[in-house]
Amino acid sequence: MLDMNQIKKNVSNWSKTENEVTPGSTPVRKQETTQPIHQPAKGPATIGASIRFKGELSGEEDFIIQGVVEGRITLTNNNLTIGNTGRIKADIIARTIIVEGELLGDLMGEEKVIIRKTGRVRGNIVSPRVTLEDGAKFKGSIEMDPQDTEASVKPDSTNKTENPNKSGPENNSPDRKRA
Amino acid sequence: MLRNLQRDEASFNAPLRSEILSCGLFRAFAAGLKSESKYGFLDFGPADASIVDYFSQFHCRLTLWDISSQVSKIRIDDDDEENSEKTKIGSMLDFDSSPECDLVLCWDLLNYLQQDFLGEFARQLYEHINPGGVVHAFIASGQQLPMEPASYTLLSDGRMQRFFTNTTRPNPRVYFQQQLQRVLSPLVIEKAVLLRNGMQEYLFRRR
Repeated sequence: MLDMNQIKKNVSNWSKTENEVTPGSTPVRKQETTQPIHQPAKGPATIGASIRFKGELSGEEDFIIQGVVEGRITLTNNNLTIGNTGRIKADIIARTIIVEGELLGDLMGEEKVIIRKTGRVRGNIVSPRVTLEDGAKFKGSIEMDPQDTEASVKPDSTNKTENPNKSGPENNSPDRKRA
Repeated sequence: MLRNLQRDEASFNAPLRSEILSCGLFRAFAAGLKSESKYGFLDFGPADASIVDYFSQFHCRLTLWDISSQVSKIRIDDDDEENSEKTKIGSMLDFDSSPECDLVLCWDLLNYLQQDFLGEFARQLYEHINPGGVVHAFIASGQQLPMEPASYTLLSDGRMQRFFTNTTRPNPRVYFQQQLQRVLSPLVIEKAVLLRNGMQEYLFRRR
């Protein structure tokens, strides 16, 4: 059976703020975070698979593209990943560029460019380090300078590679070494 | 025509076999490259991780054209001028957009080009090779030629692994040394080595 007095008491408590809870009443559960519940988790910005974008894209955070982008992409100090479903027709400047989808355009990777095994790239690459995984498709030219690689590796003395010319830990073919 | 397409489809999906090759001429040339110089390299074959990895030790521009497989897909019964093999291959050779180079990797490609196109191919190539630059080629001299050009991987011991289809091409084009010297005349055969599998490893040089 419903107790109307108890219901009124509860409603009265709910309408009060946390600081206004009267002694002896049931404490309102403290909110654990001040952020809105639906705020996305912190991480790279993403263009989803259903998104089509045409124009110039630039920013100061890492980016993942799963959709279709045509134009120009500039993420000078940040990393760009073109996901499996990404279809890009653009020239790209970024710190690190990882290609898992399709790309038509020129790439300038300030640190490195990695074409994963699912990647399909047609264009030219300028980067001190370029890694092509087995199965990756590439047509174009690659401008490489191992001295740039050494320079980019030097500041991080903890990042010791066995061979400064080798393409880094992302290389999935460790058994392949120079002839 | 349909039969041709079906045959091609079957061959491209055919399982690959592989064999290990020595490549002494390639290694000898590469050993002479200097780390302080900048080079241009051109590879007609498909992009391969080991090739990119290998050349990344040099200050260079490595151009990967990946036209070998396209050449083999051209229907050989095209006989009108507009769709001829010569025209189609010519359109693939975009020399204008390619910088001059010091080393051209021409592995398995020449056997798939018609003899009357080889001369034109060599002349175009010659124009884009720096003086003293070379063309390194593997050329089949046996009577069996895989349906499409093989792909190559550089191995850690200095040799190469060659991957090729089981299916073979009817009426293969086989070129011998004197014939090659004649049709590729702007380029000079510097060295040729017969490999165990019957192929020839060639070094052509621009003088």
